[in-house]
Amino acid sequence: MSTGRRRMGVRFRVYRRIRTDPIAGVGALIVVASVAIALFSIVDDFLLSERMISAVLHDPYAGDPSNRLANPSFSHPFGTDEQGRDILARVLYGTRTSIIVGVGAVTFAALVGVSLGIVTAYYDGLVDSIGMRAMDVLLAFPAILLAIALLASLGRGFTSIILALGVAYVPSFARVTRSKALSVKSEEYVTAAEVMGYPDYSVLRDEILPNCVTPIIVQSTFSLAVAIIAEAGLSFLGLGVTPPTPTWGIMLSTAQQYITTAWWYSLFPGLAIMVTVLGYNLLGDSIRDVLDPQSSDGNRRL
Amino acid sequence: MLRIQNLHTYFDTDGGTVRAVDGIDLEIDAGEIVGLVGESGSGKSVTASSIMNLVEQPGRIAEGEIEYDGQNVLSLSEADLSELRGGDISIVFQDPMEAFNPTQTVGRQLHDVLRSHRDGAVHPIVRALGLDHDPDYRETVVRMLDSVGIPNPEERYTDYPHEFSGGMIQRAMIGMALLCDPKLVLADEPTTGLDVSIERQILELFQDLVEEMDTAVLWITHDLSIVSKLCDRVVVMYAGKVMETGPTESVLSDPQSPYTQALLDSIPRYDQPNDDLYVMEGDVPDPLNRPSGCRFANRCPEAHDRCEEAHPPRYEVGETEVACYLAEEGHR
Amino acid sequence: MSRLLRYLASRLLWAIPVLLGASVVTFAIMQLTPGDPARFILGQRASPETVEQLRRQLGLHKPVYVQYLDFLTNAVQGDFGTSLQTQEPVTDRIAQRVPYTAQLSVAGLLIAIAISFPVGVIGAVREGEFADHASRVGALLGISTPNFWLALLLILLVAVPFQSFPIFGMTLVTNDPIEGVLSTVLPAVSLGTAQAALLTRLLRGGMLDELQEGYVRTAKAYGISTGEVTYVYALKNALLPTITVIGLQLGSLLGGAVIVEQVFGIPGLGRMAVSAIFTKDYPVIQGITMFIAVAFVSANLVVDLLYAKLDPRIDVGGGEQ
Repeated sequence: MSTGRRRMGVRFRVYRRIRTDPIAGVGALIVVASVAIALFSIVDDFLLSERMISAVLHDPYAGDPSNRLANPSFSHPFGTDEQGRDILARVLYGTRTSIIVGVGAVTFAALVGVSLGIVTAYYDGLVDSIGMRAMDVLLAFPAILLAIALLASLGRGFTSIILALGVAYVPSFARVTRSKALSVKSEEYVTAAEVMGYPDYSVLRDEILPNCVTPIIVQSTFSLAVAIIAEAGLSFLGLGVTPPTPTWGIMLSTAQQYITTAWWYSLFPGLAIMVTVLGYNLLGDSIRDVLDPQSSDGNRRL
Repeated sequence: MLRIQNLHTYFDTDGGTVRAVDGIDLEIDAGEIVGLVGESGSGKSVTASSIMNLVEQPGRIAEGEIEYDGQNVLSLSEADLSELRGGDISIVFQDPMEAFNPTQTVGRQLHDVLRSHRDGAVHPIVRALGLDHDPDYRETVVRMLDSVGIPNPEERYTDYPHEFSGGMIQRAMIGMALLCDPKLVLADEPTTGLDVSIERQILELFQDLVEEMDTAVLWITHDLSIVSKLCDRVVVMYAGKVMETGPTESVLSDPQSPYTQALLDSIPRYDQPNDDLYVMEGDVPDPLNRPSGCRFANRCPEAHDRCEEAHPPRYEVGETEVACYLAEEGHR
Repeated sequence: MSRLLRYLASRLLWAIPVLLGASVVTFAIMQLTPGDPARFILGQRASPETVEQLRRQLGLHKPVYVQYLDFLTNAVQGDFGTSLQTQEPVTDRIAQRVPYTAQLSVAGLLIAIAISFPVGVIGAVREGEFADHASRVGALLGISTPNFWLALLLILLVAVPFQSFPIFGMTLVTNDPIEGVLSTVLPAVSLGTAQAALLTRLLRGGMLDELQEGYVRTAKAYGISTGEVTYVYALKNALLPTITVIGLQLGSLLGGAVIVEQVFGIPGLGRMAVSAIFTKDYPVIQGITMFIAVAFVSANLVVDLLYAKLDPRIDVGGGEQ
């Protein structure tokens, strides 16, 4: 079947690009590292009785009143915060929130958005108009504002943030998928399946969807990058997950008060955000070059 | 007037170097209509681009001389080249809709060509503000649009390319080519994709213009019927090399090269409806990996050992020149 | 002209349902709040009678769709109720804050355009050279940098050493031009950098695309100077889709303004929205959300019209293909 062949090609091409292109390699490295650190932090925090990180560095939750706002040093490479906690350890732990929220939001957005995109593309007419109009409605709000409004009613917490950001990113996935699905639906294998009497949902799931995968993957990496920044921003505003979970956003928010006395506090958490997001963007750029070569960004008028 | 000697134009790709034009000679005199015939990939379009040194990366003119009016085109400065292009020599492209900027009116684009050649370049800001527009030039353009057969030229001046039909936009393109009184027009498959009736009109247009203005024309095509109707001489190219060249009548009625013969045989004949279509066996050689012998050897019905050794040199047979060993042996 | 008017009509036809939908969404979001707003306002110890009285007063006893219609009719007249926190009409509060957010956003957009246009175009024209690589790296860093972190860095590296840049509050340029500019520079740079990076990438890509097009080759074949072809023909065509994106970017700018206002203590809509969330001032949240949606949709209408004016190919028949 054409679908099976296409899927293998995608994975192979991406893999090969990562191996050969240094930029893609760096991006992939950062992405993998961030996920690994996040997983490690989850395991370390919740499953182990004694945190491993304390052995290597310091306990991210343990404050040391005698060592507040200490300069970066050998034992505290990123310095300490206003409660004497090691910033490096907290930065590492902060990865967890960013990745979980990012992946969660993007997964939600992808599930809803892709389905919408495929359905509106395939059925056209009224379904298409309504669906796309709904997307326009969502897009009429800046993503952060929409998230903020949703958080106002849903309250704080992981699920709320994931849902709030997820809803904001649904339109991007819907548009990208719809765009691709429109061109896929006139391909021969789709017509063949229709003619052979396969039910609609089967055509959608087995013929159209697999061939829309490439732009969805590209969109996912970029949306992940945006989501990580958004989560940090919401945390910065105080709307993120509740303490004592360390997040990069909250750290920067506190750091602002001490900006003249502890420059390291403002620098390192933000640097972590930038490096992580850079990794996702690098990977996204390279993947897009490989899978979906269009010289300009996909923000054309649709 | 135009003399091309030993032209080699190569393209450097990831897979290797494609020798699109691999050593050709060509001459055109004033008032002549020369047909350049070949299949896709024969190098005919690249030849046209090379004439005005328009070959873009990753292509390059590796060897050869192109002499126009005694000057070596390939050593001209950018300024002189700009004068030459669209001035003495102009080119009509195959896909005229693509040749025009969709966001500018057709009239404006022709005006700009005229202005560039009369007044030279202007600063982008001046141009962006439209300060360079000259009513005299506009008049010239309108007259030209009229003479190429576009009805309502005054109104059409302010129309955009997408508002023209295929035939009309091609006429506009021809108008652009003739705007600055060129001595030589390179026409790269200008009628491909147009209706036969429109094609005929365009051919007549060219004939009239050549008569009136003594313009030389290099007509590039794969269609031998056009050649027979229009061209005084014909040059047959295959895989980057010239296989045969000579007066149209001689070449088409008594071809010396088996390739030319095969081309003629491929044309379906309406007076022999029961014939199977003649198809040449084999394929055009891979441009990255051409044989050392005669390019056509693997498909030629009369190939023999000698043909595999080296590409044949040119032999003169009457008024035609042909690159085929058979000519030497006095065959045919 | 009539082509444009017809296009405007078709875009209005699109915009109105979208705004209606936005009002539904805004209303619905507030409905999601668990708990009873009246009880929330009065507190846990209020008697059931007082709560019920307030409920009637606020119209909460009516069916949902009636409440929505009330909301809509009021909204259309510009009435979003009274702020629970300050007892002022929401509209007044919004009107007070708009100039600040507007000043910040416009400044951010200007900076984004001022940076991205030259860098993007030069990057395309000098493709493959150092200038191009440098601009691409810069753009990549730009889209990866959170604006609030950039703000902190700017405060650290610029405001603290050079005392002339205020780090709290903002002066309107209408009140004091110099102070206005000084107080806007750092916030605007924080806000505009990410947009600049995005636009740079877009413009560079667009220019590269245009330079491949047939008309560029033709112009060159007809002796038209490269300067004219690149900076008049190709650039104009590359700018068209960029303009559309700028319209869309207004949304990101407003979103970013929310955060930047927080860092610099700017009394704008964003800061008001955030504090409204903490004080659960729902009328304010609704008001700001609707206001921004309307502003965004209107801005995009303007952008669409501009695009249609500049691109002669746009047909009236379908705003959305």
